[in-house]
Amino acid sequence: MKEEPVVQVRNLGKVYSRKPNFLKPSYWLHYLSRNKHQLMSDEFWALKNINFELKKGECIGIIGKNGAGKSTILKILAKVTEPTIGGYLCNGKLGALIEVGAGFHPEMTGRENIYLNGSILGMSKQEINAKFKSIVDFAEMWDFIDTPIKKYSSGMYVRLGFATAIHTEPDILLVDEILAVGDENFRVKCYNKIRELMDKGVCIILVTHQMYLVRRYCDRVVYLKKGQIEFQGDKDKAVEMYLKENFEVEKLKQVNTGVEILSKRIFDKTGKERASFKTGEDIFIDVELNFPKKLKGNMIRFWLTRPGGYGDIPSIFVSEPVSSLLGKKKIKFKIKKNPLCSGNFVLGLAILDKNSKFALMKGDLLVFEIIGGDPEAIVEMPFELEVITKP
Amino acid sequence: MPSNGVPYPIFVYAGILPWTLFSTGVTRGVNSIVAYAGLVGKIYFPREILVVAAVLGGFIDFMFGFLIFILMMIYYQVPLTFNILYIFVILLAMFFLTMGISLALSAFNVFVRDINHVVPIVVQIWMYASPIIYPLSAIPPRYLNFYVMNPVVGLLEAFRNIFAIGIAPNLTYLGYSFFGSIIIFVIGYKIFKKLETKFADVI
Repeated sequence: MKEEPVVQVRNLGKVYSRKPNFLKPSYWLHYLSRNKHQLMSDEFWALKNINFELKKGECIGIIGKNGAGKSTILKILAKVTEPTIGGYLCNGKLGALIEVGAGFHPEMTGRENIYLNGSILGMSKQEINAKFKSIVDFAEMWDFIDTPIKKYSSGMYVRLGFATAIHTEPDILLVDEILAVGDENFRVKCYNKIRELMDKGVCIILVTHQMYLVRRYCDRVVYLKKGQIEFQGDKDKAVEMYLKENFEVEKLKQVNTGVEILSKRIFDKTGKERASFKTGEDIFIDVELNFPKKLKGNMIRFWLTRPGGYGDIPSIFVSEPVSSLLGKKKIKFKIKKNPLCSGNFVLGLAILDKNSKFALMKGDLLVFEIIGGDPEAIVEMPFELEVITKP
Repeated sequence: MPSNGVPYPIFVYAGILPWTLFSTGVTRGVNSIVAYAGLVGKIYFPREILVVAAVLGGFIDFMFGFLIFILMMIYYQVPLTFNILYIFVILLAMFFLTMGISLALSAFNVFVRDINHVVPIVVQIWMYASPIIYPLSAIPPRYLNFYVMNPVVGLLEAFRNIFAIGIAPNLTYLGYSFFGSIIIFVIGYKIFKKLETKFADVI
């Protein structure tokens, strides 16, 4: 028997305007009498030809660069905005963890806000009454439940919002990058809750930049690129594609010194190019550089950090002095039995001249992904636990 | 200023009270969608609720004002008649009228934010075009047909008649205002529904 899809998205398209001028009559004439495929000069397709479906209990991941249209899909499914063309079908109650706590009123207490937000999210008063204890338990908020939430910390705010939203008992849950908030304990709790819902047969649409989440939860992945589906299907393939495309294809030129990165490869011990590695594997990196002018007294430096790092996020440095450089040079190095933890890593490369100025500075030379290990940490410290004296 | 033999405070208050109901409803209503931009852009719910809430807020204020009005009527010993039952018709029409205007303006305000600055000024002018500090009889008869095109006129006049003067309202004017209000409501609602689909994109 063929199972009915719970969510079905067909030929969905959404047009946004870069700079709408609502005072111009032409805007409204166009809006009222629009040929939906014909765009005005300042319009563009934020989404186009989106097709996918979800069966009961499935989890689909939506990945893509910023502005690829991920959140727009969720907004359309959540009925916040309407598609310009195409349609979608949701068989079941929809729950959205898009902006938790969006409906909170700062002057009201946590208790009142649970009722307020719960009703905005479509729960009846009896339902909220029945779940109230469970919500507050989940948010661990008993101490401050009667405090106006303007006094809450941002973490408390999110906890309360998440707890309320997750208790709406949806059949379809939209999750947008929400798990990036809250402290460690709470995050683990959220993961477990989502897992629990999945086991109950709730469909999940997960939008995230964290590839380890995609690997951990999703059955399939939709990879969006500039509003269109670039790839749909196997998650490992999609993640690999995403990492490769978005962090490698870039013009790599340093204008003032003329130092150029000619090529770069990241591969495993068999020589196969890869974008993701397991903790403990050896990682090899080759970089080919061209020095048009002679550079003297240099230092070459590599570092590893989480995306967005080099600065406030801790990084791991390796610096190596090098003699004068001229012409094409190849640098090879390896991360021996990498101790890195799950998540994306960015590899940076810099070449310093004798005055310690950057002759080349490339913060995002390569991006790769690590699977295994605690995603909250960066590296795993080797340690052994041993019983010395037995009782 | 002629006040048709009614104590002037009662006369004026009987005009100001329903007018305030209308004007606060509209001035609050205009801002209702934009004020909850965060909510509208992120969560789905029937957007009309925001406008209804703003307009009903004006009705709550009206109730308190009405209590004072009753006390004043007792003080000035103005007799009550069964004509006051017309108040339900007046309030219903007032609700439709305020809602209709608020729905349309709140939707426009999403697109052109300056509307909320213009509305209080227009409302102020509108006040002088309505029989609040002067009676309807102060209008020269040849302008009367034009004057009653203002849908508030029938409602204000009816309110004053049933409370301050204690007579039945002019049913022609009241009926005219009532149906005018419903037409305005329908038009306002249609405009709102048409524009609503773009709120989240624009707000």
